[in-house]
Amino acid sequence: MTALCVITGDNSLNHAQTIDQFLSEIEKRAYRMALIATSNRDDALEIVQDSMMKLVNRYSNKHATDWPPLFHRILQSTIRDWYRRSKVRNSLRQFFFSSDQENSTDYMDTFTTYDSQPDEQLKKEMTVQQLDTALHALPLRQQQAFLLRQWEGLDVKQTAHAMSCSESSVKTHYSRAISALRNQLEDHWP
Amino acid sequence: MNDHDKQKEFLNNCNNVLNDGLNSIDDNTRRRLTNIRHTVLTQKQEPSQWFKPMMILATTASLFIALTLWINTSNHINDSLALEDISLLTDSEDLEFYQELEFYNWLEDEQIKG
Repeated sequence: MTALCVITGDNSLNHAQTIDQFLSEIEKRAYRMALIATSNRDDALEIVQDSMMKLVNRYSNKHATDWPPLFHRILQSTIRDWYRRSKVRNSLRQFFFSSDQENSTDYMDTFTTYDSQPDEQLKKEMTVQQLDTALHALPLRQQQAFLLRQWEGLDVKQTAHAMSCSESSVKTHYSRAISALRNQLEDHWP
Repeated sequence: MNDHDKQKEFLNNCNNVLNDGLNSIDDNTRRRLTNIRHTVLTQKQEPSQWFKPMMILATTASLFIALTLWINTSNHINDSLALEDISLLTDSEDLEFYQELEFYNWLEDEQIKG
């Protein structure tokens, strides 16, 4: 009995360590995805926390190899929920207040900000900012399809699962995202 | 360089830039991410501590409400039946008809025989 307890305890300890390791590996990428979608650090962190919480509470008993697709699905779903809520909030805000107060950023502004000789780090940060802004300007589904296919390296089927849509939709969103990003960025990038 | 190669190069650039973006996360955000992870992992066990008592309480409350509603509804049905009786009793013509029911039956039999 004692031996069984020790074994069970060790297993749960290993399991907890495995989850911790998985989350620590994925947290920064998840945060970046949420940040690109929301353009707000606090909202992005909240999305990451919600997603982690859902994964740990609902699926921590699953095998570790099942976690990445599940986490992607949860994260994308949480981002979609945030997007819907913010749409409603913005509509209400526009209804009650003047639309002049809308605080939008034109990503093209960032191209002309640094036309002198920037150092390497600044140049990198500027390029990151440009891509972030261009991605943020895409419709959410295109943004998700692009990040999951291109950055996360998921195939069409995995992306469709993560986005809860059909494979043909993924292909359409991905193709449109590439086209839009190339039009916006290709000629401006170093 | 054809369009396919251009696209491939562009997508490779995108990947590199997105990876650079990971390095641009500031220390404060990194700390907050670590805190979030620790919070999530430590809170994992908490729901089970209060979940069962809360479920029992919620079930009891639901049963109580259902029982109260059912009793009230039954009373309403009885009330409505009682109201029907009152209207029947207070209607003099209908009451007379029921009192003379045997007479009407006898009259009908006599008419059939005759």
